Amino acid sequence: MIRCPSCGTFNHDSQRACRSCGSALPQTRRRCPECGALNPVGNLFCDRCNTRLLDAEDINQRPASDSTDDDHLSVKGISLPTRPSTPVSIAGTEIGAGQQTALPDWLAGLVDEDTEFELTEPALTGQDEVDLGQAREESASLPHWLGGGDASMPAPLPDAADVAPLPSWLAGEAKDAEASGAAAGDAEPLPDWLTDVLGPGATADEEIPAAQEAGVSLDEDALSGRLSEKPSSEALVFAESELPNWLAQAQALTSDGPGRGDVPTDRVPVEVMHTVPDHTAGEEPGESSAAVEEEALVLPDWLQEIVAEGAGVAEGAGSEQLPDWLVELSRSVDTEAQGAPPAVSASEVFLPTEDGSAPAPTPAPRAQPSPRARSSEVFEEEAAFTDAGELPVAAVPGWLSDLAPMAPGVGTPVFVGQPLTEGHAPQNVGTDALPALHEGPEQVPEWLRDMDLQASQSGPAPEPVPELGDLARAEVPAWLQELAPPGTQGDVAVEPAVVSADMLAPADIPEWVEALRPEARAEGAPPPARAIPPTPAEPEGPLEGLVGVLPAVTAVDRPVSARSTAVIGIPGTIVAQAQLWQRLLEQPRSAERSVWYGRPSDRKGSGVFRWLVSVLLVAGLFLAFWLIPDGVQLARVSPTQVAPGAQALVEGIDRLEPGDTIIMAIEYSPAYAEEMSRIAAPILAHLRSRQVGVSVVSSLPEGAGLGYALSSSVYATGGPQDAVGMTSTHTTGGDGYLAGSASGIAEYLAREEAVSADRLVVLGSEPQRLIWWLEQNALLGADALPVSIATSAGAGPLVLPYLESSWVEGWVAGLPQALAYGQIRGDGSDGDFVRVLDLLVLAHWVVAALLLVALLYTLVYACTHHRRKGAG
Amino acid sequence: MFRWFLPTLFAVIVGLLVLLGSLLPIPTLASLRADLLSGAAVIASFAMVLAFANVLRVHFGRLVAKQAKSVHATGQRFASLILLLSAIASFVLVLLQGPEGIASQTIVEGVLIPGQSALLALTAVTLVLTGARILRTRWRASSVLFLVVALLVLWTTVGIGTPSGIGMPSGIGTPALVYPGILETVMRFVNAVATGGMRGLLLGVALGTVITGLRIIVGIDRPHSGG
Amino acid sequence: MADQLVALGLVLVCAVVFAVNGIRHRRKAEDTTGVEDTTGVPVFKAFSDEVGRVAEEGRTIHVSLGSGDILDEQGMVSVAALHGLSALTELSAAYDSPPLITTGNPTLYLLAENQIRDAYARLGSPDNYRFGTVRYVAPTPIIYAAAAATLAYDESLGVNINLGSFDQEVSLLTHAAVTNKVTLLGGAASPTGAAALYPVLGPSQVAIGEELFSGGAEVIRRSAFWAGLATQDILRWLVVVGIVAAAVASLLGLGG
Repeated sequence: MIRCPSCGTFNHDSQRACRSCGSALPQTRRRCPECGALNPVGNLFCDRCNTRLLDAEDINQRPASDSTDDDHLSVKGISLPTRPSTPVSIAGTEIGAGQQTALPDWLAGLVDEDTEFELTEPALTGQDEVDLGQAREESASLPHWLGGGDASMPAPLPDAADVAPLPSWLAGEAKDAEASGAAAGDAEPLPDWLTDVLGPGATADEEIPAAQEAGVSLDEDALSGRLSEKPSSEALVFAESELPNWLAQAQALTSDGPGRGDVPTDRVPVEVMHTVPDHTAGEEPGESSAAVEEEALVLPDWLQEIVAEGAGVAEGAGSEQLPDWLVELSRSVDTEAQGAPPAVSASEVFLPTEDGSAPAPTPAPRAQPSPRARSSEVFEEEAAFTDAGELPVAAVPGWLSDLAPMAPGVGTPVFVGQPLTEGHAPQNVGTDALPALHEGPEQVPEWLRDMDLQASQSGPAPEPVPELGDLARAEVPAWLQELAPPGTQGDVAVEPAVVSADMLAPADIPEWVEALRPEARAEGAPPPARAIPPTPAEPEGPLEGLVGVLPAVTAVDRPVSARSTAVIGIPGTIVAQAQLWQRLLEQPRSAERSVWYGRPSDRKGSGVFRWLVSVLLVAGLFLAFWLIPDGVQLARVSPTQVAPGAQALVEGIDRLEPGDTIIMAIEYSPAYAEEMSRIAAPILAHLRSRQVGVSVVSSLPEGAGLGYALSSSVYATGGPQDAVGMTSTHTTGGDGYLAGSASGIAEYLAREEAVSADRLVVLGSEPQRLIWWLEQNALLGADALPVSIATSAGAGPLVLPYLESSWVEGWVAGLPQALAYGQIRGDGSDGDFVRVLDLLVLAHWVVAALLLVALLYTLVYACTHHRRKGAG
Repeated sequence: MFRWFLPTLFAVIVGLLVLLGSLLPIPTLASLRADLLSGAAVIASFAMVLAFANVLRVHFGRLVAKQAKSVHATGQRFASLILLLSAIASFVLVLLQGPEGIASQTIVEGVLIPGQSALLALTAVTLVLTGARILRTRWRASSVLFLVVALLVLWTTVGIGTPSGIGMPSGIGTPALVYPGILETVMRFVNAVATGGMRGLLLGVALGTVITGLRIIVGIDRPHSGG
Repeated sequence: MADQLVALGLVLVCAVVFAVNGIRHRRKAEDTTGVEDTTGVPVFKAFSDEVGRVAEEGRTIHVSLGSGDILDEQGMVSVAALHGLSALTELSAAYDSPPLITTGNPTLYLLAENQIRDAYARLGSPDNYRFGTVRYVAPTPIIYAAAAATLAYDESLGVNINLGSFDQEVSLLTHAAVTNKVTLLGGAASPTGAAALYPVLGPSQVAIGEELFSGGAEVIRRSAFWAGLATQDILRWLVVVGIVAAAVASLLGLGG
């Protein structure tokens, strides 16, 4: 059933409009056109006959979603916070588009959701393709460097136009560099080596190889070829704003320098940003570790030595701005540096000075071997380069040649989250192996020339893996700090993640989880059964002594002595009502209804009988009224036998003198007006003949009007106001209306006008009102009026005890007794009454006959039905 | 508290005053009782006004409500329209002329009396139908007894006589049987039983009325406050 | 005056007996969680069943309370009928399937509306009360019966409950219900009303006369109502004893 939402009327399921108000109904069922069965709206086929209910075009038509993408946060990636496209309010603060309160500036600029990172697709091996696919899926929204390193996956290319502006300190540095001799124009100068890669005229706004930031070593040729032709597709470019500090610093310093010539870009130091452990980026720790290992291996020797020298650079005041990987890298190779040029002062390179001026040109920091994927061509060229035994002079960038040895203690690049394992340490780069950093051999610094590159090429011994404790803390963004395990919130940097399963720190696994750890079992062995903790036996109740009936649950620790202090007083009525509800709801629904419907079993028979009764009673009586001859009198009654009280009534009215006052109470409804007017007519005629005054009162609101109607029918000479002796008594403002039922009657009878009356005549059809008049009059005691009653035939038997009591002087009940009254009085007004009485007699006989017929019919039907039941 | 306490207190006080005013021969109480009953009559009249407004609102709502287009709905709306017009017209006319006015008399004699008389006559038909149906739905001895008593009462209430010339005694109803007084005796017995039963019924109702009134006077039962 | 004093005495006797029974039943209710025996009038028990069935069928319950005026003796009959319907109103409000209550008296109309509004309020949803649940039909009994009977033809009635002050005009209601296959329940205090209901409902499905006053005890289950029934029983026996004594005395010629 469907309830109409407008009017609340229940309708059938298949109705489309309400049958009461006509409003449309929500459709909950659909009727099958074939079999007519009702099916849910969502059904495509009928449940009964499998007929198709919906056409194909009906299925495709779906309402447009009301919500748009702009209303929701566009979440990309997995767990990294994204900047909403529309301003949203988080914790009371509004975060506008492009803002991200939790990320530092350098990271915020890299997490622009509008930034599109394109992945290069070099020729990959099968494993590389798999890794590439996984990495793409996992870190589609992550910057290449942020999503974790994977040697097989080139970093995506950000759009230069969507790059966020430089941080202030970097922008200031860039501006200083620009002021100090940057190239003319708005663009910030790039390092020479980078300029050579991008071509003349390249500015900071152009895309910068992402591989540099990702730590991927690129071949200059490949890079120059790719970047010049397809800088956005194949090469890894960086937006200038995504440059790490040291790189931006470096380009600021070397922007006016001459081209550096070909430099093996695969040895270009890059910043490896592994702020996120590889496993959070969806990669296996081993993969990134392998990539790191792979990348570490290809770091040129000369660069490794530089990095090693820089490892001793102390972390000064500005070390927090130094890429940690670089600081750490410098530190890690500090001790192994042999004849390496002094470490580059990170503060001089990476950090702007306090006054914002450009620092003195310093050597570039050492690069770390990048774990990022590299093309096979790069690997080949690297091998070729390695096999060659020496680096071409052109591969060394100019800025690198100008680098002074780094002072120990300066912040060195550090692998953040990328601990270096054994074999991954940057290799010492002999100065002899360093190519010329400048175009001319004469530009190669002496320290670089002194590097024993041969020794490095021959496979220097792998550096010992630095301990975790030796690694500098990486700068962990705030949003990542929130993910730190409890207890480590105060740490600015987190421990670098273990890149291999062996190096993974044991997780803080709760004991209940440990308990659920599946135990290794032999192949084919059944799973171990879950151990059920033992439960104590039930102490009391019907389950006393049973064990394991209910599990031991200690969900709530409550002391034994705990008692509810709240005292709620529930009224007894509420309890009673609740008990009633409970009883009503708990009692089973009886299959057999406790009451009988009252519905006839034979519909045809009941209809016929109804028509028969109606025809006989209505039409037959009317016809009988005309068809009965005048001489025939069906009713012959003895007045004294029929109306024992009529004689007293006649005698009582005969005792009235002209001028006396009669109180006539009209206590019948309009339904009985016809009958009562015929009953009261001989009495009123008798009163008129005695020339007495009549006061009409009534306890019914319509009584006054009925009194006037009665008087007009009796006194046909004029209207009610012309009736002789007929007056209306104004009592409580109404025309003879006595409000208050019995109390009103009592109050009226106590009045002077009532006390002075000579007789009380009550004309009524309601027993209760007759009794009121009689009782209230009797309460007057000595002042009680003589009462005469004229009542209907239906009320007569009910008030007969009162009528036969001494309270009443004369009564008539029903039309026959009224006829008898006329006969006793001898007024000759019994003509029409006789005819009416004959009709009444005839009606009584007809009804009796009908009841007798019904009795006989039921007897026959019941016997027949019983016989059929027995036979069946 | 004001939801039920004050109405209950008022009901208790008024009930006690009216009861004592009816039973105790103290003039002050009697006059106070009369005044309180007059006030109750006024309140009942106001309730009549509210009920009349309810009738108008129900039928007006049915008139303006959106209904399904059908003959039945159209008939309902037409009946509601007739009722509204007649109610308002009667109210205005009687208010202007009073119960003795021509309009009032015409309404009473031309509409109320014939209509209600017809309905009362219809009850005779329905009573016959239900009486005839009793055996078809409940085949029990009590049902048979019911019908027999009904037949006897119908036979003996109005006497029917034989055509003149046959010389049979008349006046009682049916032609005399072997013993002329049997039927009269039976009817007297039936009348006594029926009358006694009705008196007992009314006595029980009176007792229930007294107890229910006592509960209201004492304040245990609060139909006025929903308790 | 003597009659008044006799009446006052009778009232006092009734009050004393009622108070004694009230105390007795109160103590009994406290001891036995308030669950009393049944009164043996099954019609009131059927109300809850019928409410549930009608709610499931999506039909309407029609309750006709008659034309009993509150200002006279019939008013108490109407109040007793409302007591018997209290569970019906509560269940109807709970099911959100309000009954259609018709009355022939203005004051009874106000009482009935107040009762069903309170039922919704007790359930915490007073706004769910729909206007038109309680209707005043007509002032005279015969017109009221005829108008209420038309509801069986117009509305989709499931149950027709005639409980209150009725006379023979209730036969119009019963005939309409029977004709339209509507379940009938009912009760009348007057003999004429009971005579009209008895052929349709039968002796066990109708509340006649004094049985109408047991609805409160059957449904509401308060000790006060049980005390009232017990008081009625005691007084009835007293009346019987008095009638028998008076009859014997009149036979013996002792009385007047």
